[in-house]
Amino acid sequence: MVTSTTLLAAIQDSFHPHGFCYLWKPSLVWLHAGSDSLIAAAYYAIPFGIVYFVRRRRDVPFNWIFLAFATFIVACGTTHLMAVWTLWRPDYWASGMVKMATAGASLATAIAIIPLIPKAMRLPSPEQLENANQQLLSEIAERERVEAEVRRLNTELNQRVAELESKNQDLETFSHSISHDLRAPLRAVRGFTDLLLVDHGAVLPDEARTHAERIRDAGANMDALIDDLLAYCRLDRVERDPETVALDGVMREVLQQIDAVLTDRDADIQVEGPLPAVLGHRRLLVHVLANLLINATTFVPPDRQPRIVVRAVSANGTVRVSIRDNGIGIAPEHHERIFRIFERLHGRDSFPGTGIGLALVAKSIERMGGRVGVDSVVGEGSTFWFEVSSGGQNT
Amino acid sequence: MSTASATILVVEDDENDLFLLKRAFAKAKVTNPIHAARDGEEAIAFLSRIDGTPGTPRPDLPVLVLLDLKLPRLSGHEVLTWIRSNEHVRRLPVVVLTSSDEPRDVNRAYDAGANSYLVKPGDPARILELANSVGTYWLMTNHPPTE
Repeated sequence: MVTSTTLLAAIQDSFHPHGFCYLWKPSLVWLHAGSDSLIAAAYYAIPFGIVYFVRRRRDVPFNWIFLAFATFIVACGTTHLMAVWTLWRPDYWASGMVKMATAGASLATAIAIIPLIPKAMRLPSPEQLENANQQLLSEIAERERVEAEVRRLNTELNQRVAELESKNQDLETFSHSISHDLRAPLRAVRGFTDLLLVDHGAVLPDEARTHAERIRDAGANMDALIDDLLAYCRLDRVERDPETVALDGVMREVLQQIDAVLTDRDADIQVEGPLPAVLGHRRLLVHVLANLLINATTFVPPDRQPRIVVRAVSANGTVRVSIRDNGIGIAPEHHERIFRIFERLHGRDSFPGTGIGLALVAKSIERMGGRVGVDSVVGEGSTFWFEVSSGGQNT
Repeated sequence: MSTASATILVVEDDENDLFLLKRAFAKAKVTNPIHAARDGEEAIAFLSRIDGTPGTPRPDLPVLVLLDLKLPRLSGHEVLTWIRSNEHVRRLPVVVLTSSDEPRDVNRAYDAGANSYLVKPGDPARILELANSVGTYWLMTNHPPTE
């Protein structure tokens, strides 16, 4: 029905509020007003939740898209608020602007979402994350088990080291005891037997004198055995680390050391060529060579001049030193046992010695990580050899 | 410089070693009186009883001390330390005469102030040699402290 208001509006070119479209039917107007209000309320409330979430969980990936959602939802809410407003006030330019803003926000979000979707698809599912976590946990458990094992082995190792050190200490005490205590009564035996023979030998019956002489010899033998046993024990003591040793120098020292014996036995020693350097302990090497050379001059038939040849061959990181003699030779069945402590193949009347020389040689070479052996035929001399590391000196 | 009448102090607990040493000195024509102390305490007591101070004539002062290291209760090392820390006898020439050739013992003796270290030989012939050498060197060739 045309009223003054509508006439005025038609004359002034101003709009009708929306209620006009609903013919101001109260139930219809309130239906729209109510719904739009509720929508607006919801569309304002939801972004609060989103923004709160995003601010709290800064770790959420692509959290800017949530803010974009919040923006266009708020904008959308505002358009519904405007719908309620324009029911009674026809500010359609304003409501149109709000709509346009909302359109912009919504479109922008829609476009932004497109490249995001493939990325979001690649995010690991909670299930995948849980699996990865489980795997890590079991790996950690395994590592911890291994670590505990290592600690246990380490403790065991320390225990062994402590045991060894205490054994070493025991050995030192033992050899110290040999040094002092065993020799004292032996000195008395030898000393008084000597006095018997020297001071009273003339008045002793022949047999008594012979008895005394045997006692004297046994005493001397025992002293030699104690000396050798002590030397063997001392070999067990920890040496410094092996070092490069020039065998030429060792040879010179040895020849000097045993010069008296060599002259005494009229022995001839040839050293073939310059000797190489080896990795070992100088003291032990001097000992080994002295021993082997003296042996070479000892075990010869009485009428033969001892002739000895020393040579060294380097190959594959080892040096083999051989001492060839023209002595009595050694039967193959004995080639191993001669290196054992106090083993002898002949009585002391035939050739002197306690039988420890080769045992000391074997132990010394063993300490330097090498090997020792003999090639020999009875009646044709022997070649004693030992192999030690060249320490990368000679190639 | 000969000191034929001065005492030699021998600190030795082993009867046999003492007997053999005395006999060896006799054969080596060493005529000095030998005073034997059977353990460390006896040796210290003997040295403490010597009258006089450095600078005054002290005829009882030994010209040489032969010291075994292995003694009951007080060790030879401790006796040596006592001698070296006692003003009135600290200059005494002390020659260690013992059975051990362990480097540990040798060095410890020198650290404590020994003048010489000798190892008792097992071979009786060498004991005689030793008595001869000691007699010649320490009693004749060497000049003992003058006070």
